[in-house]
Amino acid sequence: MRAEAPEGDARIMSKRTVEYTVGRTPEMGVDARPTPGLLEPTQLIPAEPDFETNSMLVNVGPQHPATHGVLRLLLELDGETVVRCTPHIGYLHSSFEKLGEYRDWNQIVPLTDRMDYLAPLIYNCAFVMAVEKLGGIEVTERCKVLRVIMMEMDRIFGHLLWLGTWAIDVGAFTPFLYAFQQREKIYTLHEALTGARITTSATRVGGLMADAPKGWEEDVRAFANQLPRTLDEIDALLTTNGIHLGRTQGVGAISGEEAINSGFTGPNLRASGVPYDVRKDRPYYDYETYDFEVPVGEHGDCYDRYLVRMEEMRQSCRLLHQALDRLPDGPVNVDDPRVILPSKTDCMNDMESMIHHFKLVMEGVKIPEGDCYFPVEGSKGELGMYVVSDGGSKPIRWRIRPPSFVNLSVISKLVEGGLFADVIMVNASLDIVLGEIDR
Amino acid sequence: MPVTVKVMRRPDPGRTSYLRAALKGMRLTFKHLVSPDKVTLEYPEEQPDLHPRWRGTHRMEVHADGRPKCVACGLCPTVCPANCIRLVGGEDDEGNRYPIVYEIDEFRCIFCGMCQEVCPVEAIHVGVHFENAEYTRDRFVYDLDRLMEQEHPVTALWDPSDPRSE
Amino acid sequence: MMTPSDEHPLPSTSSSEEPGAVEEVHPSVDALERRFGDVVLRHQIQAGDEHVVYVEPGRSLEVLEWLRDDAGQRFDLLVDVTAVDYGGGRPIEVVYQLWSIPNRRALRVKCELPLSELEIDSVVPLWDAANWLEREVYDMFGVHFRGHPDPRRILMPEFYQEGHPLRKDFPLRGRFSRAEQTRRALSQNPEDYYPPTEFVGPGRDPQVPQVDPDRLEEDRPERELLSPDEAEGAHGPDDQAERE
Repeated sequence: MRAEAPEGDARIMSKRTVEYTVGRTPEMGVDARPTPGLLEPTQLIPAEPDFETNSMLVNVGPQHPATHGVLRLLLELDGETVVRCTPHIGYLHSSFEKLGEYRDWNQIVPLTDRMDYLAPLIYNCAFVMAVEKLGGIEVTERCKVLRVIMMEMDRIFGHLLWLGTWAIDVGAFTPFLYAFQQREKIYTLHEALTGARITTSATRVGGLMADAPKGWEEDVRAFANQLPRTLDEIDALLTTNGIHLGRTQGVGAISGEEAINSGFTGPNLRASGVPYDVRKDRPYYDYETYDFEVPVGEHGDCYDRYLVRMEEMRQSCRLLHQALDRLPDGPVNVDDPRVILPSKTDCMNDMESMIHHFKLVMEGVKIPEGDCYFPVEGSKGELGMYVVSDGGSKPIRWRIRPPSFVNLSVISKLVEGGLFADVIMVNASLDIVLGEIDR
Repeated sequence: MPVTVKVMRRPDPGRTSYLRAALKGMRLTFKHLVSPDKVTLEYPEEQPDLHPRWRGTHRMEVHADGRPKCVACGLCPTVCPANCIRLVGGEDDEGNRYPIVYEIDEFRCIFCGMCQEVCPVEAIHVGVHFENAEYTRDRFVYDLDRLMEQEHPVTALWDPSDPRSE
Repeated sequence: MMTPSDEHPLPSTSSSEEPGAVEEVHPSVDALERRFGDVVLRHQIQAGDEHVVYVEPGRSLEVLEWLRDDAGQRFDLLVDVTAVDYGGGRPIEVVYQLWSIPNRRALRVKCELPLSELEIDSVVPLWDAANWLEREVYDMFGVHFRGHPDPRRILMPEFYQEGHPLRKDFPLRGRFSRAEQTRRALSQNPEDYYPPTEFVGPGRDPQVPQVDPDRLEEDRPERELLSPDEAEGAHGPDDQAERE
């Protein structure tokens, strides 16, 4: 909080006085809102010669682990209070959207998983789902359920990385190691399904790159069975820990209305008490038939974002079990030679399949003219894919509605007036990934 | 359908603490210290167990007489999203098409595996291999001979005899 | 911490309950047409069930404000602001994706801006979310947003000279050759990369972002560079170059 002292008051030492908001200790009770004025501000200090107070500029990033990527925050500090925060992004700008305009629909898939390398399968799925909707392609039931499994698995994948780095930013190193042990298991599942650990490129328009290998479903189930135990352990380390509470409660709070106005989506918005979840509000892939709960917070501060994400991982485990239970047999790819390559066996033995194969590779999938916005619930928020086609095999425009880009734009509002150390916490609680922000 | 909302309430003040939390954390970490589960791998000595679907460095399959299986149809340079394949095709006396130049720039390659996915004669493959080190950069442009020399197993994705890699 | 779950049935909506059900009529579109008449230029249904409304660019702010505030509409979440350049000298479309959380309804509002007049009212006064999104549209397409509080480039370097990258007349690898790009990069004064907002000293109010209007003016001539031929030819040769 920053107060401008009246001019000419001789008792004021500096022109700008700062009231520190100290009041987040858990001893005060958990629901204590920051109360100003516990520390006496500087008014009572006897007047001295008026020193000129210049604010200090501190450059956080772009090469700093606490910025979670190449984010640069230019902070103007008054003492230890942030007066102004100017984020600078673009250091990782790779122009994926422009590159996409020069590529076939299927060739774009490898670009998508390089955007959010923390939850690549969600991006793979979201892109082809948008293209399929525009093209009127109805994928098979097995493909739908497999994609749900992939997306829920990667929601856990993204949240686990957030959890580990969040704990490091609070100052706890152990949860990071536990979270990354679990991530390693998902890496292995990625590897078994797609052959790559991060750059999965797992989807194709009309289906998947390959069906799940034998035994993969059981591996996913085993993973979903043992994950809650790790979550419980991390829960025990953080949820009631006074240090963790003291650093996060009441920090970076935003009300629900303001959060909506600022474009918050995903766990950040739900932490402010707005139960907007794309899986429930704009259901896709029969999410309305799955039984899961949408966790919402009450205060909208960093601690509630932590609670919401922890609970989301548990809900994703439930979803994984349900999806595995209903995983049907059958083909994963649509039976349409204009969309999906024929099987290798057919291609090598059957002239017609060979012709389809060559035609499809040389010309690409043709998507009818029009535009389509398809949102899915990504691990960071509402991930929208907006594709515009002119009827050809390349998009006129491919736009990603980047959840962490919009979420990050609020950071100035959240940190200004707070303490410098809280900037790191707020930044960690937003769960950003710079690959997608800069695209 | 109604949205089922779960309100995340904060822990009671009685449950929060500094000292108890620290001791609880200590107990947990010591439990992990003596736990027999090993999660790390002594990498250079112990080799990781790569899944048969691993997409790594390329390999060109050869016929029994040592010719490459590639028929220079041009599908892989067309589909390659990274444009890392250079192919110049030719025809021998018997009318068989073969690649005169076939180069893959492994630095540009993004290992998406689309080249193998589209290859109609199962010639080019991505392989189960990840350790590549050279003294110069230009050694990473693999030419045809180099691709044929590779000995690592090829990925099990898109195997016609085994579509689900069972 | 774990509490029994509460059941919060959201207010049930009249129509858009069934996912996938194609509705020819969109209540908001009807209301818009009744309220604003001629301002609504066209109404389309895209990709099965997505309703698109073309609005006169001059009155877009008014329409969007009404959509946000009217009791029957309440499009409170501005999901996305973007633009589409179709190339060939056709107008650039600014696209607003709206979502109403209370009514669970989506609407896409589009404004067509001719290339000679790439200006539209900023919606930052309505939604804070538009701040960075509009900056990105300005950066990538050169659309100027009237009344934007901080109209700087966001992804490209602040003083990027080559134009607006997502326009169809912009070659994939930039306007300048690789050699020229390298030469320019090497001859840069590193301090040029630090925008004037960062040089805060005594006597300057740090609360107000100091944007040098001349700097922004420098970008404007790029618009005049566009000729239909250029735009037409841009797609093909680049494609070739990219393929090489």
